[in-house]
Amino acid sequence: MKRFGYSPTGVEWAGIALILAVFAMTLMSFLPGGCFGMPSSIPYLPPSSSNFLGTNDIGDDVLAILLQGSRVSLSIGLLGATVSTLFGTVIGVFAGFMGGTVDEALGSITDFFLVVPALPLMILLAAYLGPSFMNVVMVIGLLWWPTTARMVRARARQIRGSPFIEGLMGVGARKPYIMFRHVLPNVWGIVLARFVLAVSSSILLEAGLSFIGLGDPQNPSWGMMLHFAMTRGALLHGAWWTFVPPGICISFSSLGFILIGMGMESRYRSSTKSIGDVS
Amino acid sequence: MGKIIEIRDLCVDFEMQQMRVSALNGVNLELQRGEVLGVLGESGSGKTVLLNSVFRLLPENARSSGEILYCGNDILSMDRKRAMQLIGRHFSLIPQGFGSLNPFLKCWLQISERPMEHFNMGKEEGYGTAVRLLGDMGIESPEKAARSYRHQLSGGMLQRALVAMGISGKSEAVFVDEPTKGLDERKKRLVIDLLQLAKQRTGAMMIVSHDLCFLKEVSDRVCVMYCGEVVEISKTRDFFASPKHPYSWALLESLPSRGLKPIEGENPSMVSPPPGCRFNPRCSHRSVRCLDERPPLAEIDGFKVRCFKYV
Amino acid sequence: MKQLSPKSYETPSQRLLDSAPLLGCRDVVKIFKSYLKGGFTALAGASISIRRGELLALIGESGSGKTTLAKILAGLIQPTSGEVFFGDKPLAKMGSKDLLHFRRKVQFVPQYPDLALDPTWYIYDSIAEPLRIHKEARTREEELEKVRSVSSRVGLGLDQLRRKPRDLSGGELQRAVLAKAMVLSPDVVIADEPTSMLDPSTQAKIVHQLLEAKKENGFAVLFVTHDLSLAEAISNRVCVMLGGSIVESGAASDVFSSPLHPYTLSLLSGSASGLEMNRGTGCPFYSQCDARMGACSKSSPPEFMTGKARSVRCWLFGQDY
Ligand SMILES: Nc1ncnc2c1ncn2[C@@H]1O[C@H](COP(=O)(O)OP(=O)(O)OP(=O)(O)O)[C@@H](O)[C@H]1O
Ligand SMILES: Nc1ncnc2c1ncn2[C@@H]1O[C@H](COP(=O)(O)OP(=O)(O)OP(=O)(O)O)[C@@H](O)[C@H]1O
Ligand code: SF4
Ligand code: SF4
Ligand SMILES: [Mg+2]
Ligand SMILES: [Mg+2]
Repeated sequence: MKRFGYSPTGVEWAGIALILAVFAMTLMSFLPGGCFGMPSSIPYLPPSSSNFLGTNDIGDDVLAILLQGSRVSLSIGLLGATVSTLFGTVIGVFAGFMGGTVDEALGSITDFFLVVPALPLMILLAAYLGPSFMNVVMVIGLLWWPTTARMVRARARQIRGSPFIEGLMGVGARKPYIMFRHVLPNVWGIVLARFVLAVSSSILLEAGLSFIGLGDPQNPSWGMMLHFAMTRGALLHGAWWTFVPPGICISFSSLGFILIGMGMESRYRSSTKSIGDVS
Repeated sequence: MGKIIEIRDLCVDFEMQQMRVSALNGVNLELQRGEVLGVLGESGSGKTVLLNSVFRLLPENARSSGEILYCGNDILSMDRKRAMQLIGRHFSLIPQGFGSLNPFLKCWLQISERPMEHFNMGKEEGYGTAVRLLGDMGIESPEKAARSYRHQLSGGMLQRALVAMGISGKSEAVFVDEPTKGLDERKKRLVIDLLQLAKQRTGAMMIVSHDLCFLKEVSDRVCVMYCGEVVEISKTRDFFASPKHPYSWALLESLPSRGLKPIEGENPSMVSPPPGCRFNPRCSHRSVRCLDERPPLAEIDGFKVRCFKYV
Repeated sequence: MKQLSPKSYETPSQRLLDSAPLLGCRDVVKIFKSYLKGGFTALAGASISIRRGELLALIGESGSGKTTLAKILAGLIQPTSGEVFFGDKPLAKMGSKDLLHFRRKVQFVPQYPDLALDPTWYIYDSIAEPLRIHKEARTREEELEKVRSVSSRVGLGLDQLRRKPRDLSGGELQRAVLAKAMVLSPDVVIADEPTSMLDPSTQAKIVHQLLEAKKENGFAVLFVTHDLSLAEAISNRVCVMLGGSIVESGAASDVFSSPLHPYTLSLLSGSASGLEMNRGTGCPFYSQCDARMGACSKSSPPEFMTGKARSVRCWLFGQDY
């Protein structure tokens, strides 16, 4: 890690370990079926040596579904985070750099989305658009950008005010060029941190949406597993193995991203205490 | 007279992707109580790195060895938190660049930050101190300057704000990096007066500067650095009367008042410094020995010099 | 005031004065918004002109408005009133094509080198950037060649070019910033204290290189500095600034050997007395001037020509010339 000029703290190592575990699960889900236990015809079979985490209501192996679910949760997490970070960054950089009326207009849009209660709106949207993988991604992406936009904007304004931008204008650089080549690299740290945090919120949001039945039933995610456990009576059966593992997975994977993201953010904060600190 | 700071065999290297920059190479130096030590030398010779090592401000890619002793404690190997506490209470730094001023804080907050953090100075008093210091250094309307942000002040005003930052609280030693750049003669006078006043209150001062006339006036001893090494330490009066090291001599010759003659040859590379005496490619007194043997810092009646001419 | 004897003799550098100005400004006023009522007047009607091939030193106390004037000349900030012209065109009326040409030909070296370069860019790229913006280098090799030659001029080696700004010393950064301004071989270099962080030897070297480059390419330099002995050693012409206007200008040898304005006199002797400058009506030096007269407090003196290309803003010189 030294080579990247980045040496993680203990907390960040924990985060990295958790994330690696999730990725490992995803990789394992690509192994040929039946590696972890055959679907058995008996529902709610408790954990045993043949079915490591038992079976669910229709007798499928829970571990196999859990691994499958990691694929869905992770990809929705990453895609949702990409969309929302992209949105937030573009709006933030633009508003922060241009200033003036552009900034004000974009600022009020951002504020609007910031005060709108996002979760209910998401539920509405998801219900309206119908359950599908892409829709969940879009809903998360469209609603989860305002905080990112705000932070990026603040940083971009800071950059905008620093003398080297004035110098660039002085040699005749155009505004889009400056935004892409100078402002963007300087906000990169915060964008990355926000992205990692957004992955974790996306995973949680997706779980939430799926749990209330607005997920894509074709690709059962961890949230969907919880949903099925709820609606198909696993709770009544006391079949804890159907809902505890996905719960743990959701918490730990999002925790992993949160730990890293927060570490990155605090690093970024301490490095911008005085920008361009040379001495 | 005791020593406040004793630097022993300090080496600092910076590790970079394709190279290793050796910024300090075996520096031995001490700061006595009650003295002003002037440090001068070539641009890029490691003066700022020296100050930054004392303040534990080196970046992550720095590898340092040696000792910096304060009251028998080694600042370099001390636990970071304790070191910062100790440094904050006892030393103050006037940094070189304006980048160390925060663009979003009003000037006075930064000037009085150290005493407010370490000596329980109140806000009112902090503001008052800042205004008084700025006024003493000849800023026209100190209240206005104290309440301004970085981009609203001129270069000379920022420089004076930096100086004020260093002397706003009491400290045992003040480390100053180029306090007079961007100041005209008159403002320089005021800064000198203020630094001398501060010196009476504080223990000692180490001043890095390129302004030789200024050093001549304020310092008791001077230390000349070249390419990461200390090459000469003398009493100020002796130094300006008769510099010992060939580099010091050539440096004094290059002043604008003496005809603006630069030293021949390239600045040495810190990545692959010349073998032997590091000044040898540019030295007019070079002998065979200088090419592959590193001269020691020899002590000869009252001054120290790193040159074979004197051994 | 006996020592104020105006002499105007021909010097070689005065031949330069006959050529038309390359860059200049007329009656520029700059008022910064501040919480003070009416804002803060940093420039109060300054006029200056730079001619091809000359080195014009701008001296004056800290806070007198040198940086503000330099930035206005470089087109970085807009004056509140007054006009800047490049060649014979006013800057305010330039189209985007002319403006780009102006940006190509006039380069600014800022006063704070540690804030003047993008902290995320390698020094090499920062120096090469003006070439890329103006498409002056057709190939990578040509770019490398140009950057290397200009960096070795200022004494930076390849190993320093491969670093980021925070990994260089103050003086190295200052030289990098100067290299960035010289890489396009512009017509005018406006350098705001470009050697303030350099040791005497390096300073001498840089100044020699600048003079040499100036001779080769025939560009003009506006050199803002506090180092009077340096200004005297290298400049052809000097402008002295006080309180936002140019109070005296003329050939360097004249101004340094026989200063006319009482302020210049005290600046050169390094012994200006009081601190307060008069920001009200009348001469800005009024409150400190030993030679003040009744007229001085009433209205601020206009520019009086006391010789060829020698001007003074002081009522003392109003009657005879
Ligand atoms: N973070 C860093 N990484 C790599 N090299 C560095 C770093 N900081 C400084 N250097 C190098 O170490 C050398 C000493 O730098 P330093 O800042 O101490 O010079 P200086 O003596 O203060 O010079 P100046 O008078 O120009 O400020 C320089 O050659 C510089 O390039
Ligand atoms: N953006 C700004 N807002 C408000 N006031 C400003 C601003 N920029 C400069 N000033 C004020 O204008 C005056 C002149 O500043 P300028 O930077 O031109 O001085 P200078 O002659 O370059 O001085 P120095 O030699 O110290 O660099 C100063 O009093 C400064 O406080
Ligand atoms: S040791 Fe030799 S090369 Fe080095 S300064 Fe002395 S005489 Fe010159
Ligand atoms: S105009 Fe009057 S006050 Fe101003 S410098 Fe001349 S004599 Fe002095
Ligand atoms: Mg330095
Ligand atoms: Mg200035």
